[in-house]
Amino acid sequence: MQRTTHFRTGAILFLLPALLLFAAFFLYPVGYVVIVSLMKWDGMSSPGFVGLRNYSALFHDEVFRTSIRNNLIWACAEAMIQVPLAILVALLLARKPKGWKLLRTIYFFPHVISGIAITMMWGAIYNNERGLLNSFLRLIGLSEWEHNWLGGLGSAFPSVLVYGLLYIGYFMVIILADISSVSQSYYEAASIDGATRTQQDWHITLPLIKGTVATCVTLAMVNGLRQFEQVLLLTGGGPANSTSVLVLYLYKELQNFHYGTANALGTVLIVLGGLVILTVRRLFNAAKSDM
Amino acid sequence: MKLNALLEKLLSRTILSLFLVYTLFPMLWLVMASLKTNVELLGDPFRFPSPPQFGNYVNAFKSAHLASLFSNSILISFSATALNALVASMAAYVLSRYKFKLGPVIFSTLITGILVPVSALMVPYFTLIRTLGLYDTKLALILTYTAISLPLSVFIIKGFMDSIPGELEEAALLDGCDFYQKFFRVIVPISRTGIVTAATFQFLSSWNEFLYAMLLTSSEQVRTLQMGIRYFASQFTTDFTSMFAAIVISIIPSVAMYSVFQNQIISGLTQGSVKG
Amino acid sequence: MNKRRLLLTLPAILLILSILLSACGENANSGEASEIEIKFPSIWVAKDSKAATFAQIVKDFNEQNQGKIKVVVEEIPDYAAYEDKIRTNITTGTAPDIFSFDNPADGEFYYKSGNLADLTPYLDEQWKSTFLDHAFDNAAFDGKVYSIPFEFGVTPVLYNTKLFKQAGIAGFPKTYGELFAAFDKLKAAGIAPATQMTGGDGWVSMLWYSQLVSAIGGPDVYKHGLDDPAFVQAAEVLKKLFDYTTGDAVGLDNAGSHFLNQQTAVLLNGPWFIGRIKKEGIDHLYDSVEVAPAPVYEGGKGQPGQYIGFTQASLAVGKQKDKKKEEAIVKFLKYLTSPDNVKKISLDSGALFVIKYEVTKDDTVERLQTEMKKGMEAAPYIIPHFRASVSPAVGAEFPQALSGLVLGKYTPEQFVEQLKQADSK
Repeated sequence: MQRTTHFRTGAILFLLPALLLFAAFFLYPVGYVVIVSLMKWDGMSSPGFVGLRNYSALFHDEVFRTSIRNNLIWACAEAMIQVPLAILVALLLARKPKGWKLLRTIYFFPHVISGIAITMMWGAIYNNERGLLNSFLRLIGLSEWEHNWLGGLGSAFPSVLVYGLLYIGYFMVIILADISSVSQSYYEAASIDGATRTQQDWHITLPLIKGTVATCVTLAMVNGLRQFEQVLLLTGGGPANSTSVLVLYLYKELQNFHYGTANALGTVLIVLGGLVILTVRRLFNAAKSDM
Repeated sequence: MKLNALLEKLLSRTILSLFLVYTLFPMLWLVMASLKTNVELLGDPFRFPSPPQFGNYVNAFKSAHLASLFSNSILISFSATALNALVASMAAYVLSRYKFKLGPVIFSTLITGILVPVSALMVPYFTLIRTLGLYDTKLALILTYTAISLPLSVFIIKGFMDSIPGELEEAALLDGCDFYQKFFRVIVPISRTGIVTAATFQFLSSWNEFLYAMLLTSSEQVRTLQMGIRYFASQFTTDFTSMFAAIVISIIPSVAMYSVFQNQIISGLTQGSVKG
Repeated sequence: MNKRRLLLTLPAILLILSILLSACGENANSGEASEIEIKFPSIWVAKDSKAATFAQIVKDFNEQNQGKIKVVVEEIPDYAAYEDKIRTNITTGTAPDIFSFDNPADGEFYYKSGNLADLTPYLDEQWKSTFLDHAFDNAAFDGKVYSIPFEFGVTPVLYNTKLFKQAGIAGFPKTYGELFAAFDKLKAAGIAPATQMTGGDGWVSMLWYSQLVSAIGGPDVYKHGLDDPAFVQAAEVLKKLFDYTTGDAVGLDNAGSHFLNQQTAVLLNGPWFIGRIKKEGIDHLYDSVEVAPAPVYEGGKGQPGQYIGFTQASLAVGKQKDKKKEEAIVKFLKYLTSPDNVKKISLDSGALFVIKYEVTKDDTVERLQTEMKKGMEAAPYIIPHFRASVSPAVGAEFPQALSGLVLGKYTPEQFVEQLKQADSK
């Protein structure tokens, strides 16, 4: 009994700062977003209530459909390509090969450099006239593949998406941290049994870091849904809106004084993200109970 | 058997080298670009500068007042990181180590915050900070950064705390630890890797944040380094090379902090481990 | 044990420290009560060509009004960020004391907010007479003047005579027929004729479209909205122009780089670009650049010599509670827009303004700026560009619709339809 009251005050005291900050910086703004999404408002003159009209307009909108599609592709690509690669690299680094500390730092570089510089470099790599990619294709005799990568209806979105998938530093950090907390005694026992390092990784490490992999998959999918700066700086959503994503569309609608539509997009994004988080957790929980 | 091991090693080396080249390239390009003239940069982005324009660095440092912005960034990012780590670990501790009815609901609500498009919340954040009377103060940025990353930090830290075996806690209870002692003496030290990981991300995002650094401040005394970087953008043209020089200067602390934080994780590893 | 305690106390100390520091910062900010402080978030700082002269003018004003009025400039050189901040301010009812905006189409929204000060009472005949005719056309809403037009932009043709000579062309073509013939020659000589772009806001191609629309539909073309057939016809010609540009035009978002590197021979752009030609153009580019009006369209309603011209920056004032402060703000605005000061900024930066000033023989006026000014004065009419004449949403959709047109996704009719749809939200 004494323990419960003690726990209760402690729990409330410990949760309170987080909940206060969350209420001020998330609940209140999200409430605002939802309310404005029900209005026709230019952000300047007085708003008018229109119910769900902003939403129904979105579902008939081609740019909205393209954006959703692009976001979902992005989310899946990050979860299914970037995260597995990050796991692979983390497992290799955990074997502590020569210079692994330096590698761990360098792999993270792309996340330290500001987006302005990285996107400008990739814009230059993809450039039709002087780009490295086309020069490379010419060099290996594939000049018929030369292309205005960011300016083609079919090639622009894959170009914007692909390069970042190989920057694995972010998830590598999370996974490496988790691997480092796996007890050495497991491996010692396995070594005595004659298991190779790869076998150990497969049978010991992976099952033990499953929770963290779930964390990474969730974060990867959420990242895919939130992409914005990369697209804005590389293509601005073009050509013909083919690389548009939800947050970019939202930002443009704010610029266009369409505050109602912009906030409806914000609401859609939050709901969509909630669904994704739930699904990922279900999947991983189901996998857990299988074991 | 031996051949297999050799092949495995070779493959591993190849993979690590490929990623090394791929991730190092942007950094090398950035440094190279920061030594060019703007015409060289736009005309031929991949040729080496001739001669290297070290003046870009002088220009970046002098004209953008980087020195004073630098100290603001340090203060704001460190405070936001420390505060965020503390608040998030406290919340994660309760949510991870105690089962109570509202727990899962609170956790689910908190983590939906990860996907809120923060850049779309300019109007509510501005109103909030003004109402609190914090406009144009460093505290406004510290609080905002602490809050923005809170869901992510709680998510990461709780994940690590979840994997602490219950026996350890019971041992602590037998030792006579109460709620608070258990947190400080048992849980925090053990989940240090998780806290440090979250802190790494928190530091970087505070360090690189621009939108709210601009929106919630107006005087030079409270502005951050990111404002200095945008100093080279103007309405019709951007001085990219000086901007890149400023970026190179600005990432030195990020890299340093990253290394320091990451070394924390490794010392955790040598101390012997808990997971199982 | 000690180490752990340190880990915990450190954040607490840092937090307290930062609260104290920020509190100190606030105290330092409040000045003496008698002095009126005017806050002016401005883009004319840092690397902007007007920065030095603008700073000098503010300094002079503050010295002349010492102890009474002080103008404090908040530096936000990045225009996109500036716009975000200004709009957030207006939406939340905290419009800055003075701010500027570029596109008159945006201004209309700001006027409607009710958060700007009505400047009508201050705009006497004497002040008004220092401005060009029609300068205030976009400055009023509901019969009240809410902004003071300031910087003016014209965007004639800039062309590289050296490259033209190489292709055997003398002078700039007078009609679009001649233009395409000349572009064929340039192309045959291995030179990309003109810069086009669909990245960013599609600026240069938007200017070509503006020239075409009014060359075909005449100066009154925007009166019928986007229903005028000239918009479709202009789209057809613009699509053809994309056969005469660089291979990276679709997606390109840097307006100037090709022209500066002599990779294209023609660029539509304004006086603010002159400084870059001088400083960044390779192989003495400046010496071979000339100015010309855009061609006329055979059978179109436009006249030869038409100029695209538009208010490039307007100044507005946030609503004030204190009448005295409002008067102080207007005093500064009058000072800033006085012919003497405008002349200083104009001659130093190359920018043009809607305020008239006399040039004497002793003044050194830049050659290309003079040519632009002459062309503008000789123009039968001056018409704003496309983006200033339509809603912000249509302007933002333009580069998207254009890339669709060029890549064959849209026909010229669908292109115009796409633009119209942007407005329906």
